[in-house]
Amino acid sequence: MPTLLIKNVSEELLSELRRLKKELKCKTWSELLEKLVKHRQRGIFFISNKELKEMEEGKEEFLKLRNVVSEKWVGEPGVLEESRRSRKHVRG
Amino acid sequence: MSWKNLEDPENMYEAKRLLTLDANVFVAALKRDEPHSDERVNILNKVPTKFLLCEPSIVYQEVCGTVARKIDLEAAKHAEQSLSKLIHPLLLITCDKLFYPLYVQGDFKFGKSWWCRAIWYYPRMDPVMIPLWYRGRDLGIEGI
Repeated sequence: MPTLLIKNVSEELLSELRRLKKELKCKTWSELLEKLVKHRQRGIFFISNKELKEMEEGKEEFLKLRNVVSEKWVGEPGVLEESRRSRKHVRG
Repeated sequence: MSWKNLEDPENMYEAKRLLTLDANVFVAALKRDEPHSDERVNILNKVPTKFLLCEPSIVYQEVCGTVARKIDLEAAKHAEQSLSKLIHPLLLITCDKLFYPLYVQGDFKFGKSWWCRAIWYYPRMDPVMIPLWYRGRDLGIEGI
């Protein structure tokens, strides 16, 4: 089996990995790595600075629509009424 | 358990809470004369520094559909592109039959809808749903 040697692991990261290993009931580090990968979409995953930056851009771009929407859609129907109309049902 | 940013050691252990915003919250943020529109903008402005969005895929249909109906197709496309950046692909929950069983076990404060199901997809992250009727701090959510 291949072996993975990881250098320069900070104390903080090691402490977190130990916690995860215990929490996820892993007997070995390789088992922890496997679980982290498998469970990635269900609660544990990491986010990069690039992804955070992209989210920030997305938010700014979305809010830029505020001017256009507010100019063209004034007054009635309100958001809730429009939503109910599109969903074709009434909710309290 | 939550998100961690491994590229920034100083913020490495800063957990970000998940929010599921009702589609109406997005739309109300865009319509200035809507009651509490500014509050909705304030919530969105805390993404991604404090919160990350976890949304059912129907958010596209509801937000972009509303913008297309009330404004135009170009604005709807703009909304679609920006939502795709704003919501991380792993936090966009596909509304399909595989997703359905995840919500039937829960006790739902806000009723059973796709929006609530998105919350229960990531139960260990302790996500919070913000409905349209959210008014300030009445849900007691720290940080909003």
